[in-house]
Amino acid sequence: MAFKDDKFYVEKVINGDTSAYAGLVNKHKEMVFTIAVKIVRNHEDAEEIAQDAFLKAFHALADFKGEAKFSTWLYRIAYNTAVSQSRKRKLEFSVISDEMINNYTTDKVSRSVNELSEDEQINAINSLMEKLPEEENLLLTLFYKNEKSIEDISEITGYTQSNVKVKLYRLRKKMYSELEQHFNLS
Amino acid sequence: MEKQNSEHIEDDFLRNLVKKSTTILPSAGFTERVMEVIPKTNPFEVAEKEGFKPWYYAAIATGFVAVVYFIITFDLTSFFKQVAESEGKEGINYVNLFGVVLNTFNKAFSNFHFTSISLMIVISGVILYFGDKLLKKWAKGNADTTFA
Repeated sequence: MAFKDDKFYVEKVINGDTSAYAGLVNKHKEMVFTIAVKIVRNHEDAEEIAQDAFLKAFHALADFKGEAKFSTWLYRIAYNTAVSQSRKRKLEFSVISDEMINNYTTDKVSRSVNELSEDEQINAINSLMEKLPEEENLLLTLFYKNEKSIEDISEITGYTQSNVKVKLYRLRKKMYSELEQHFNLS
Repeated sequence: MEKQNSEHIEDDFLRNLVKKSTTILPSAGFTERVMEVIPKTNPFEVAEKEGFKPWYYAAIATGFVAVVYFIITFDLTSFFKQVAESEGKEGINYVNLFGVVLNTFNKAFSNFHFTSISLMIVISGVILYFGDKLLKKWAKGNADTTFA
């Protein structure tokens, strides 16, 4: 489905055509839902959070100055809504120890993974990502899967760009370490 | 502080692998459910109408000045004297009773001059305008439109 530029829908909504908001929902629902589900890890809760985020964004649309991208602004709302919901349930973010992330061998891991069938690779990555703490799972998804820029991730999560880079660097090492363990390579 | 360049996080192997992870999608009818809670009428129209309205602030300023004018011109001492005369000798002498208070008020209000009425209109108008803006800003802040 081809979508128009966000600005087109935003202007229509502000000018009174509230049904045009459906265009924005359709365009961004997958990303908003992904952010929510990575944080809360529950389909029903994630849908509720995504719906809440869209409603919050709608009511704040008049205040949206267009300085940031609409998508980033919306994802930030979704992220904050999800995190605040998770905090109520005492969400724990893990601390990655330096010991865990040292001495990885990318070649060794990539060779082993490439020897697997497509289905086995999907199962392996799903299983590893499932084990990751919520925040790391989200960062990995945003950067490597959805190819969001460091700048966008920084705006969505509220972390500084350097902080995002450090987290991603550690996360990358951790993934290799986990993959090594998964394939008994270490 | 550990600083990493983008080259330390760029990884095609990892990118391709993570892209293979299952994407969980919202259930069918998600958009419809969101649109059910979105108001059908334009809520932004009200905000637009709440722009600067000179006649509104002028009316309030005039009312404010009228009240001040009444307070300044009202002669409480004469009023009390009239009351005392109408009540006769047995009436309470309010002038003596509130003499100190009346003198204080008389001194305070005698500092106002009618020539400054136009200035008062402008000042009260400006105060009302900015007071109104501040109140709206405060109310808006309390309405939780922040997402941080």
